[in-house]
Amino acid sequence: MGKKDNKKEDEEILFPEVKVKDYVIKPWSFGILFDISEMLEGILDKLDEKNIKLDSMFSDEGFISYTNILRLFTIASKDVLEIIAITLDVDKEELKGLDMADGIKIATIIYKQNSEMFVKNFMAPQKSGGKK
Amino acid sequence: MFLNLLQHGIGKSVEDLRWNYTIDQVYLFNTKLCRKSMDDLRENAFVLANALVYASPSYDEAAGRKKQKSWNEFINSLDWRKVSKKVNKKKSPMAFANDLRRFKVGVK
Repeated sequence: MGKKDNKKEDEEILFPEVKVKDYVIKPWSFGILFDISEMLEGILDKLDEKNIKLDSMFSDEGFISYTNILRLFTIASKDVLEIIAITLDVDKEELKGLDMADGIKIATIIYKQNSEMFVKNFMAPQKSGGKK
Repeated sequence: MFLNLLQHGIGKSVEDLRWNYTIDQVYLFNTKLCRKSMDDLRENAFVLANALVYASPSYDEAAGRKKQKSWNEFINSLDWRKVSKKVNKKKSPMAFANDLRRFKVGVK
């Protein structure tokens, strides 16, 4: 009688903080979601410009591979940096000083913590082939 | 949703919920509160139904005793000490052997 793997347990939701170096990473609040919606939109626009479909970057279960995270970094680095800075509540310049491995680790954790948000809000309209 | 949380003492203000609680936490607490309010209504319905049966007239002594017994059972089911005692009650060796027989394990 196991729960679905991708369903978060209560403990995960109540104590979601992950620490990487001195940074505490927490899933988005509603406030942050409103703040970053513009950058998320920016990422989608940039993917559109390159003719890359967002759902092609995700597996059917909604996972994104390491290579595709790197691709996203390359295509929309400014927006990604902004999202990370707002999520961690730190200055963008400070993030630029991070080494690549830590940067990707932080980005991956942010994605994983908020993946449901991506899948629900950004993939679903695209997969169904248009706006709601 | 925010109002529901605030009414139940979760979060100090809408701004607090907006910035200091993750989206998952807001949904989790809201779901739990909805479930709890439904459970409360269900419990009230049980109490009312049992109370109505208990308070209805009995036409003979046996029926009265039966009603009293089922009311006592119902009241005991709401008493945590009695419920936990029942759960933790150790089985007698005979009951244990009967269980094993039921599951077709040979007992001499």
